[in-house]
Amino acid sequence: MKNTKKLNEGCLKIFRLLQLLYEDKAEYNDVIEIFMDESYDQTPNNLQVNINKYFNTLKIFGIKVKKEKNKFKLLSGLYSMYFTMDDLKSISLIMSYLNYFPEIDMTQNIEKFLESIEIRMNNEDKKTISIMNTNPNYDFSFYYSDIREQIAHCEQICKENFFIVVLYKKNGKEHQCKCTAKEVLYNSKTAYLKVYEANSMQNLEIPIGSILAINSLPQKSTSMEMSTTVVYKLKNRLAKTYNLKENERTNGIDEKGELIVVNKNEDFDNLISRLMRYAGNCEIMSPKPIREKMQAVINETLANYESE
Amino acid sequence: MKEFLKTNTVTYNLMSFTGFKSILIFSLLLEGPKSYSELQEILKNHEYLHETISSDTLRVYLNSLREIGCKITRKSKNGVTRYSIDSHPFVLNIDEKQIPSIIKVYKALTQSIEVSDLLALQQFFAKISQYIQDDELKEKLSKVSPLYNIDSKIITDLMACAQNNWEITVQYNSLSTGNKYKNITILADKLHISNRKLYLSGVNSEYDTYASFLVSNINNIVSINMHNRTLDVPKLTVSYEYSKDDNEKFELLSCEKIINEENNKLTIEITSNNKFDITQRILSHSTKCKVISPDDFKAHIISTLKQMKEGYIEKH
Repeated sequence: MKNTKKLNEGCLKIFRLLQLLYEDKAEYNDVIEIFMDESYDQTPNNLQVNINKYFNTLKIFGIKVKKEKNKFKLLSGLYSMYFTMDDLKSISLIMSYLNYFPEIDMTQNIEKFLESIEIRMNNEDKKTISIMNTNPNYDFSFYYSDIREQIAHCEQICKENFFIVVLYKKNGKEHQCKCTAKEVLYNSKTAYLKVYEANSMQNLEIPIGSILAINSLPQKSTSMEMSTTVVYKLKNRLAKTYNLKENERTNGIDEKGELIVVNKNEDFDNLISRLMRYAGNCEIMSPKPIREKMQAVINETLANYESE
Repeated sequence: MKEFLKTNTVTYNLMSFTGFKSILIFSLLLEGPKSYSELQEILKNHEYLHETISSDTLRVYLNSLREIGCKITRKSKNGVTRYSIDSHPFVLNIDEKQIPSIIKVYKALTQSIEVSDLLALQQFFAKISQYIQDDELKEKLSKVSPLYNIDSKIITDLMACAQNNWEITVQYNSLSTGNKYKNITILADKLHISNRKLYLSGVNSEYDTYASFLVSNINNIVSINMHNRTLDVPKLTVSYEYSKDDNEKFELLSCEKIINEENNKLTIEITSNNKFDITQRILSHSTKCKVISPDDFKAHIISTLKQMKEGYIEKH
């Protein structure tokens, strides 16, 4: 038997309109399509009057809409979410941080997310946010300000996915590596270009400020990556208290009370700098070149005190 | 369509009467379960409507709401059937493409803000994550904060203790001594993040030494002595030289200050109650760093490095 469920056209129309508005897809033409009635000849004037009536209805419920280019944009919605004062502070913090965040695509994505939050916010909360001041201890304005152009360039290179040759300065010397750009990473003060160097089978994090030149090669890179695995052991108290990182695994503490850790994908220099902190409680087991590198770092550091 | 009353919000006389009733019914069912007769009563007494609507017409409205994606449940109790909207298509829907961007900015932000703001930010994202469909992304987002997996009540209490230098006794999961839980009394000094982990630093009353305790290992706070005491722990100040690369931005800790800068050579002074923290900081700078003073700390670093060197030679 045919399903004869009765539906209310007006109800469907107003909610379809709301759906378009919530999805930020309310182009004029799509809105018109909702209200076109094929059953009788509608004049453009009738159609416009009809659409206005539905928009007025939304207004009664406090739903605000504005016209922008060829689109209707929702400013406040059908219902509001509950936000605590801490939530509002967090939103305001993200907003002020975004003003200085250098990656455009990323910033746009988050702005879109914040917009969708804002249309679900009541007027009181909107007002609170607009007058909220960020903690005066935070000054995001200087972050990455001097390397904005280089960051944009690196972003572009990551998207293109070609092999590249990076010339950069480290410890006062120039280094060069043929690699694939993976992503731009940030810490509180600077930004890094994360690359995969197939030769040494490692991920490198190069401070963008230290990059002297990047040349793209004509070949596209493949997604094949064979990262070197570094194995190190932790001893004494550290073996019992160590928290594994995301990129690490272990089989637990062995009979000698030592923790063998298998580390993958970490920049070797960063790893060595981290393991140096553990002093005599840590020893790199393999691969041999990384173990030797660690030894060399210890010796070089000791050499700083040779004349003492 | 009917002529409609002028209101403060509507400047036109005309509006969609069906649209109005649709949103009203939607809002009423979202508010909580209503029977047909309860809906009819509300619509009849509504200041604009004053309209009697049949059950059949209400059924059509409900069908239409289902059609646009509302999940309407029906529950009967004492012979009365009530309807309510459990979910609808207008809830926050976070685009999966937005999440990696959110994670990246959230990660960067966690390195630049105070613990109290980080806690608020973590709670905000925890609230938001219920609108993320993909479980993997949801998990990734939840693990961004270094405060992940730590009871927020403990963090809030410890913040107050550290701010007031209160003495507290905590039940600590002391893995190193093999004691599963051990009561430790600490004169709280500060709550801080180091190497993406939250620590409480203060004076360990048992040994009268300054130490840092992993907050994730604190099971609960047993007692708080609210008489604030003065922290009377000798501070250690160490000067060291750091050879910077061109364009390198040196990340100064809050306990550090640059006392001299010549070409790419920085002279930095670090002050802390905790010798262990200073040792770790110096060792992490490895070849770029040399301790200048005091002599006994310099000797300590040299002997630590020699020990590390021997560790490698002995085994191979």
